[in-house]
Amino acid sequence: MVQIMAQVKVLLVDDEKDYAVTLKERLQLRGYDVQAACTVEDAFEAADSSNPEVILLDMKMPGMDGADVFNRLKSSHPDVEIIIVSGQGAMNERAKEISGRAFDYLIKPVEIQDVARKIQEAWEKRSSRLPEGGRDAGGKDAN
Amino acid sequence: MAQSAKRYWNMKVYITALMVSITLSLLVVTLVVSHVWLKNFLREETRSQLSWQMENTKNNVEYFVKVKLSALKYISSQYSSEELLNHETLYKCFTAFKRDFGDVVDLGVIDADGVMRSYVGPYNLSGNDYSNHEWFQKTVVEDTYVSDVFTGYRAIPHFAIAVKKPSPNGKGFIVIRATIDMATLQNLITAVRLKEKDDVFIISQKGVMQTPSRIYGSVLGKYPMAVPVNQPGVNIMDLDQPYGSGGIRGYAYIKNTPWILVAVIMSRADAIIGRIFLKELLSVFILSLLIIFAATIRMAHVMVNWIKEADRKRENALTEIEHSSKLASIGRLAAGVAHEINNPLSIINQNAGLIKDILEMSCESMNVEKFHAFIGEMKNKDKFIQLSNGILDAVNRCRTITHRLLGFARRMDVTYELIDLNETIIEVIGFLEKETIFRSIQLVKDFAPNLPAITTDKGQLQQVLLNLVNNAIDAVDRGGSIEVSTKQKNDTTVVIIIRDDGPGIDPDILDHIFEPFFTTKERGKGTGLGLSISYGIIKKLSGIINVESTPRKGTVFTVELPVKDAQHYKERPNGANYGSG
Repeated sequence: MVQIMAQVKVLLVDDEKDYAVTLKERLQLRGYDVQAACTVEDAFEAADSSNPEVILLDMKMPGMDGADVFNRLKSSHPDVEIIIVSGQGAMNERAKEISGRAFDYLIKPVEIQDVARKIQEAWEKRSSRLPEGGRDAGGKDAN
Repeated sequence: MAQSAKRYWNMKVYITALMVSITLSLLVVTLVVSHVWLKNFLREETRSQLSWQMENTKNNVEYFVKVKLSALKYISSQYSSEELLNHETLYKCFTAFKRDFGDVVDLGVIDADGVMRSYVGPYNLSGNDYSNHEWFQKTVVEDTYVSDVFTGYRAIPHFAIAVKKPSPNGKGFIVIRATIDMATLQNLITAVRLKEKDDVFIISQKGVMQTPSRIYGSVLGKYPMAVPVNQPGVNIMDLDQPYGSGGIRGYAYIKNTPWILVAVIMSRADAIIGRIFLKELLSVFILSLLIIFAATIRMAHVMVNWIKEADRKRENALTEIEHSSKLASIGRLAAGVAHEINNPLSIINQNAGLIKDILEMSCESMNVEKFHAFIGEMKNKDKFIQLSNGILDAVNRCRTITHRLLGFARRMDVTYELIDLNETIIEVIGFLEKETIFRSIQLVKDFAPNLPAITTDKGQLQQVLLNLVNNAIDAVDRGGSIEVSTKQKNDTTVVIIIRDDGPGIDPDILDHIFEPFFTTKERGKGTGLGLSISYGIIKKLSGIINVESTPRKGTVFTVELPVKDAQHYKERPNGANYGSG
């Protein structure tokens, strides 16, 4: 199956708890260091405490506009790569506004291979952009 | 359908009645005005004609008398008293007189004592004494005289024309007298054209009838009216009652005679109007009536057909708009529904994926030891049951959504049914609840319990409610609140109130919000049809939709619906499609 690779730190933000938990477990099986947050507050907290490298963000979160969540995460963690996951095919104006700054976006339901690949790509992009020191230990022997 | 046919029929009748009454009244006004005008014209005409005829007659009589008087004067100047007293000479004079002027009955010479000394004529008047007769005395005083009509010795009404001839020596005189029958005088005045009821006659200045009158009796009778004042020319006045209104009386003093010509025209000049109207105008009137009727009915027919056509076009356009609005609201739903369904699909996807992962991993060689424990921990019965339940829950969620959607789509057709209003609203809100949660909008439901079930078109009502709640969601800011409440107004009416605390609607705009194509949303965001269609639907459901708004405070939409749609029971609305749902 999948090569167990370096512990890429991933944060999953989605209000569907079942989805988030299962996806977390599946990504864990694939060797990622995954955390799940089901509310906006949890997401910010988790982002601050565990400093993820890649965030999978659902644009439709109760209590706060997805674009606002995106902006806040980006501003507090400028290095993080965010992959937008949306339940709707069409994006609203604000989502389009920020989509340029996101690494990519996926439409639900997502295939695990696609998610894993995107995370990998996002992590590689981040790694190539950042100097060696900025990377977490253990991320080195990827590939 | 029958009702609209009746409506058009009524419209036709109404237009026809209106047009006919307008044209008829105009026609009648024209008739009345022309009648009055004609009447006045004819009266004026009668007056001037009478005046003219009387003037002529008066002149004729004057001329007649003048000629006779001149002849007498001529005789008086040409012959001496002796000659005139001679019967032979007098006879010659009389024959010449009669030959040249006619009309004279006799010729006589009277001496200063008033005794008829010489006489030529049909009566035996020689030796008669006239000294007491008025005409003789007047002639003596005035030299020439025209007498009133009198009977005298001969007992036949006549009048005398006399000339005094003084003797050459200055002492004494004789009087030459000619008499003329009253009938001659009467003939003179018949030149005035008369009708059956009219009358023309001569009276003396003393008020004695000089010629017979149809109204006032025979000759020498008393003229019962006041003798008119002497005025030159012909005078015409309106006849007093009881001689009939509309009649006229004319009189003229005849110069150099004691007479007054009087004419009474009783026949009403306007009497002929009736005949004219009957004879000539009636046919024209009836003809124009027929034309008016025909034209009006034709016109009403054409106009109503235009209206019918316009109504039909409008109805078609409305149906089209309604259809496109339905499509638009379906489109809007689709985005929401996609999200709603994609979430449980994702759960199913991931749960099934995890099960597969676990099973596949167990079959594979576990080359990484540290994950072995992790797999082992996951690979137990509870984990699979948990994942399966997740899948089943997600499927249930999808089913709820698809069922609701199907129900909504089915009710796009017009169909009346008994519905629970509160449940209907909950179904609608169900579509939009997610959106309110995402935008942190508080959605308050305040439903009156025990509302009666109402008979209405559920699908259409839901379309309206969806539109109103959607508008409310669009209006309020993040964190705002929307309240949807129901209550019973009275036995026959229930009310749905949708209140938001958005920015409100500008009072200038408020009057227009139910107009088609009126929108305040950005281009492309709204069709401007939602509220106008909602308005149309609620009207069709025999309800009332109202809006109240306070700027910066919010907007309240109120929908009143009848418990039993009276229109539905009376007659099913046009295009109602029963049983197809």
